[in-house]
Amino acid sequence: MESIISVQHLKKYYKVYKKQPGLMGSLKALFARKYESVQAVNDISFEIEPGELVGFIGPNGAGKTTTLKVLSGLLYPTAGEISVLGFTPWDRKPEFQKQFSLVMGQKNQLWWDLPAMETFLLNKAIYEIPDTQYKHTLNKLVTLLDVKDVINIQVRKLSLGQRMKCELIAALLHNPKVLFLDEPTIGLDVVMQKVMRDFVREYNTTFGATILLTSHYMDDVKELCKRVIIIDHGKKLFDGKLQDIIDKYAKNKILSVVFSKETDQKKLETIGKVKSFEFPSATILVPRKEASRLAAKLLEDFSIADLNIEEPPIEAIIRDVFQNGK
Amino acid sequence: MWISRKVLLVKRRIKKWLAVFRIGLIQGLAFRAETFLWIILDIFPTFILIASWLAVFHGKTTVGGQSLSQLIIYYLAVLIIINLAEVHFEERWVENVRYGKIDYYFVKPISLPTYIIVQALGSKLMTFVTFLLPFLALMFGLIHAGLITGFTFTFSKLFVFLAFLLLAFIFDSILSFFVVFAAFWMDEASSIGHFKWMVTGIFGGTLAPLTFYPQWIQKIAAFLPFKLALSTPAQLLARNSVLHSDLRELGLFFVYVVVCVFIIRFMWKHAQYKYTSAGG
Amino acid sequence: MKKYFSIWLHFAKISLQRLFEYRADFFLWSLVSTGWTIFSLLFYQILFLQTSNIAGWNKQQMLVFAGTYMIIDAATWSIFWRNIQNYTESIFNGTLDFLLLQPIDAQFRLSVRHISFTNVPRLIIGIILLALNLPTVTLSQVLMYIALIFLSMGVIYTLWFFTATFTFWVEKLDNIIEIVPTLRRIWSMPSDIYSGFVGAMLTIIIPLALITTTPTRLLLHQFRWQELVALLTFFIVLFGATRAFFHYSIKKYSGIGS
Repeated sequence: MESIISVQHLKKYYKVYKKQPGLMGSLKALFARKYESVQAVNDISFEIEPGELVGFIGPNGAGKTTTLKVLSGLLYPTAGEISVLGFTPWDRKPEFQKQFSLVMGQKNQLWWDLPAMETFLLNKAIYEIPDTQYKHTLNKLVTLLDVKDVINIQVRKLSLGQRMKCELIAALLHNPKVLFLDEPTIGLDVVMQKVMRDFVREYNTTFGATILLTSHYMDDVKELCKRVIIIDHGKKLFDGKLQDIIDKYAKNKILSVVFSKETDQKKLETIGKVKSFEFPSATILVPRKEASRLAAKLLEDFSIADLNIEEPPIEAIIRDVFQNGK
Repeated sequence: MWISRKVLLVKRRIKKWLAVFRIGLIQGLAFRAETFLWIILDIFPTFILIASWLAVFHGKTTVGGQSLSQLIIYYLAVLIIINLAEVHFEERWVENVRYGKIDYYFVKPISLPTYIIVQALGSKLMTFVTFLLPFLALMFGLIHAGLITGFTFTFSKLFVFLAFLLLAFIFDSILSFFVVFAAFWMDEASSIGHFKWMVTGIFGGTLAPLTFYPQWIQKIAAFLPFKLALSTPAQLLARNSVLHSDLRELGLFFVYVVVCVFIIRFMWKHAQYKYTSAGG
Repeated sequence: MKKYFSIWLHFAKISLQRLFEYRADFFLWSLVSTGWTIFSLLFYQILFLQTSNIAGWNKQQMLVFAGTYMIIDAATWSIFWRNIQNYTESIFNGTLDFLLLQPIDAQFRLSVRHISFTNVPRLIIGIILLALNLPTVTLSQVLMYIALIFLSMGVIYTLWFFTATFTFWVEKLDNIIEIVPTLRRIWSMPSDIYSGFVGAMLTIIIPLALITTTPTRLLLHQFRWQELVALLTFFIVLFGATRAFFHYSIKKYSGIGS
């Protein structure tokens, strides 16, 4: 099957201008600017087939958002051959723009002082969506996201969760074939995150859209993507099934404890590898499958004030991936 | 067959811009209380201006070649021009550019400047409707008080005035675009917005007809296009008929506007390039 | 009393520190403020190109008037503008709650937090205008003048705070705080230009027209006691009404919650 998104040797370097503070700095900057080159994306290649749900993960500043912006035509690449839906994204041809959508978790497209419905109508006209198709899609999405009561309320009066749902609808009214989601769950509470993920999954299966999602939350990717691309410092570190990474690299979980009574560190080592110990807190690395059992043992054998079971941070997993050479 | 397809495309285009215009209208409606207050606040200084000139006119029938009535008509004309032709979208959009909120306009099949201006038009229509009542109240109040006497209406005056108004609108929009596009390069663009205000105010003639200004300012103003947007058409309205100089100035204004359109299009091209190469 | 003064001093110090951090901002906006000052001076100039006497004021007297206007304007803006803005914003963004919990008078706390310095050029221009055009005055007159300036500033501040308090009662009206800046035009000209019913209103009942005129008359040896009485009475009544209105609004605000 021919790929719907094709990225060959994408490079994106930025000139970051260094400006001195103050008025003199601003004046100087008008005449001679000092800059340094930042390699945001440094030779990335991948292909995505129609209907795939791919996760792009990496720490902050890894180059995920930059890649997404190039794919949506917001940025010119420094080098590389990119094709999305058969188009060169930065030509920004209307025929191309009508077939994809970009949702940025941190930026809204909804009009703040008007009901979401008004933005929907505006998008209907901008994307030139025929009436019947618009009504059909709108109804489907509104039902799916259960926002019938809120689309006629001013956006600024909605909760963050409701707003995010309406943002999604606004982005999907024109039935895009490709959907770029940039940090869609950022700032949302646990319940909303689940709602968001369920919806994205549902959308992928029902509408068959190709979805590319960036996140620095491991959970986003775990719940949604079979295929994952790990990016760090502008380079692709891993491209393959998520299960492979988890099995391979995220072998451990972290138990983080707060003790209510003095404890002997040696005794703690019977539970697992002690990563840090500074009374009253400590963190212990334990094998993934044993985490619950060992946590229970911890509670039994020690005087605990507080206990958390945590995933190793994604940075640690990626560091592992990086160190294990890829 | 080919023609009907073209027609369909054009129809869809028009629908698109109508929707943007409509949003501008709805926004204007949502803010009608604020707009109304602005208009009242805008009109208020006129009273003080009139009171000041009444004191100056004490015992005289003309001052600086104008009667009090003509001067008042001048100020009313300035009010009309400011409310119809001046745009203020630069404040909001400079902020949008600064905080990267314009990404979506590059991703959707829509042109940002066209979007801004069509929306501003919609907003302006609402503003104008809100402006009518207070303005007419003011006008009739002044006529009733006997302060306005003898206003001649001719169609030629009206047409020339409307032509000036149209050019003034385009010109002021270009100035505002200049401020917005400057934000693509510098953080301090919002203060440029203030200078736009000041410069158009001083050299346009909001304080008084330019012929009342000190000589040295008049000399400078003669070189600048700002008076063509305000003082010239306002004085035209206060006069009895259209003069040759008015038509000459209208032609000059037209040339200015055409040149500015080219400059601003050039600037937009480069602003776009800068945004898409640096990421904003 | 002493406590409040030391708090005010503390706020002033912080504002001054902030000034040095944001130097470029300060320069730019000072430039803008100077521009507007020249703009308003231009208007007086335009008037006097056509006449030598406006409602009994000659050019030199008018310049003393203009200087007084600028001093009052610059001082009021510097001390209160940002605070009034923050006050109305805090009603919507919830920070008002936080302020209400503090153990000092809420109105005071809201009114004096920020001092801006971008109007200093305007203040200086005003003082220069005064210095260049003043007739001879005694020290006691200068002191009395300063006291009158404070009174005028008090009137403007109270009016501003009063109108801003309406923000509690309306849905969303961002330009409520622009009412007083627009009303400034009234006292940007001597009160003598207002005659008839309007004149009576503006010099007796709501003596806004006297704000600049009364202190100026003192310097010009034309002081009128009636004007001082009118201004003082108005200030006292308005201040009382503002405080009552403010406390009533707070009650309503807290009752509904946020």
